[in-house]
Amino acid sequence: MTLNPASPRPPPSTITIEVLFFASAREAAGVPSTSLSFESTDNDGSFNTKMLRTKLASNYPKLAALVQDEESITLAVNEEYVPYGENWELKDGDTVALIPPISGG
Amino acid sequence: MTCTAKTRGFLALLLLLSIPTRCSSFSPSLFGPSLHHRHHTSITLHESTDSNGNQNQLTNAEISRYSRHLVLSDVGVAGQIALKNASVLVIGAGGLGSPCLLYLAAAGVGHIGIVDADTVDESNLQRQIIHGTSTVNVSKCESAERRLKDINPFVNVRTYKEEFTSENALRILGEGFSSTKAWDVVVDGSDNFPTKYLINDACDMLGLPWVYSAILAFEGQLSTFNYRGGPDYRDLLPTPPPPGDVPSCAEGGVLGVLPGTMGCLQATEVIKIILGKDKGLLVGRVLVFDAMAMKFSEIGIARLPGREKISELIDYQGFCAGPKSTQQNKEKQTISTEETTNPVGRTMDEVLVEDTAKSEEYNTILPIDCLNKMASGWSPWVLDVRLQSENDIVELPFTDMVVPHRSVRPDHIPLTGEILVYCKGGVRGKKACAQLVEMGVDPKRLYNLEGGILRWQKEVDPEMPRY
Repeated sequence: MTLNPASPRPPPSTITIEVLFFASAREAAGVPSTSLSFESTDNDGSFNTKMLRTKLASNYPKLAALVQDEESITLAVNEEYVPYGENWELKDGDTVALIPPISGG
Repeated sequence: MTCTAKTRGFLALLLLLSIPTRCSSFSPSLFGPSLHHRHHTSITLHESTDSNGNQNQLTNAEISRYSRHLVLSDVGVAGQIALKNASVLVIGAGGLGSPCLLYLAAAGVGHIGIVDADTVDESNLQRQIIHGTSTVNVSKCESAERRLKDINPFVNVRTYKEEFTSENALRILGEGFSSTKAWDVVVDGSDNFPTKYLINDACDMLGLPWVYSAILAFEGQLSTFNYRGGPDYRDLLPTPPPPGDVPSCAEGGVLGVLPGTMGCLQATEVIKIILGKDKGLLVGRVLVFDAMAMKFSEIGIARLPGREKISELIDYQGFCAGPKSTQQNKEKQTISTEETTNPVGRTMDEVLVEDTAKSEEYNTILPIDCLNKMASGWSPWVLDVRLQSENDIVELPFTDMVVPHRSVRPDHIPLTGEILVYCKGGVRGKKACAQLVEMGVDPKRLYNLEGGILRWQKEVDPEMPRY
């Protein structure tokens, strides 16, 4: 499931996704999960994880410092980690988890 | 006389049924013992080993001890012998290592290694259940070994009372229990990013599987890495988070039972690896446990395309401190001294925070100097940069405001006048001061309390509690 710029049908202008916050992301967001609707900021009307990070940063100011940074928060789309450096396409109904790295033992 | 594994399995079953046996032969009396035969015969068996030095049988005492395993078809006699011959190295005898070690020993893993340079502190006992009040101030290796021997005297223990570092990692992992072959499985019981990357890279170089876990507050993560070419820690987190971004358990706190859960899950994975039950291993998946919601989630993880095999170990402290502070690391060699003179349960992650702080720009004041200065009329505005929960435990009596160090901004403090900043051990105070300086506050106004409230307690007010 990688970013696919060429979509055969015009995608919807707004999608709603379920966002799950873990660890420090939950602390920063103040909620364990939320349902988030957002509009595409791309000309072709597609949605991706990079766009979501920007949207989350503007919705949750306390999360802004963390969520824009791949080292600080890893994303999982529908229970699959988005590999470092990749930008995945999102569609209506997806579940995205924000999983910050932890190191305690 | 000796019995084969198979016949001894049968004998185990008989033992379970409390049928007294004589091992000499399957005489009819075994199946219909008359009353005067109803006594347990003591049998001495020759330990027999194969060409690799592996044992291929269990003693009577082992059969009794492991009977609940032996009746399980997925363990059985063969599985128990595999456990007996297996060697597992646990790096860190702390929150995760404690329960993991306890269960590995109880399960009969024959050769257990422990790496830990620390001694037991009272604040460990809330979660590090292998240690006890009677072993406070004893080395964790020794404390753990005593407990393991008590649980299961059949287990052989090898301890390494040293930090796990780039210098000794390949030797410790490679020499294994008996210095003849590498450990079969490695368990990550470490509490900081540099050690996790080190374990990852060293295991990658030697081709060893390892069971990862990390915990914080109410959450835990778990995965089995580098198992037969499967994904590893660098697929999960190719680049470490910025230093100071992720709190350690000492700073952020951890529910005591959480590492209990995660350490037990690690032991479960280890035992499955030894038994060869690889279909259900947590390979290519990361288990995320949310204790507050009591939910286990599973996140798929793939090997990053193009990830190269590790060919050498690096400076992991520098790697996790980021490019900015590598130079500072080289210049500042005082970290370990500071840690030993002021042991506040800091982990390496917190030490890194200190390295990146601009310590030279603002003032630093010792508690005793602070007291004297105040006695002669100094009256700074006092900022506690710990968590509110820590302030609830104990505070300096003249504290004006509590703001966690990550959130400190210039608008929290008065526009003029001197500011005394303090935390628990002095590290977060430095970070907060550096942050305020970066945001434009005149560094001359800022005083960080050296050694924090712990040093204040030690040198000024011994009546205060330590935490």
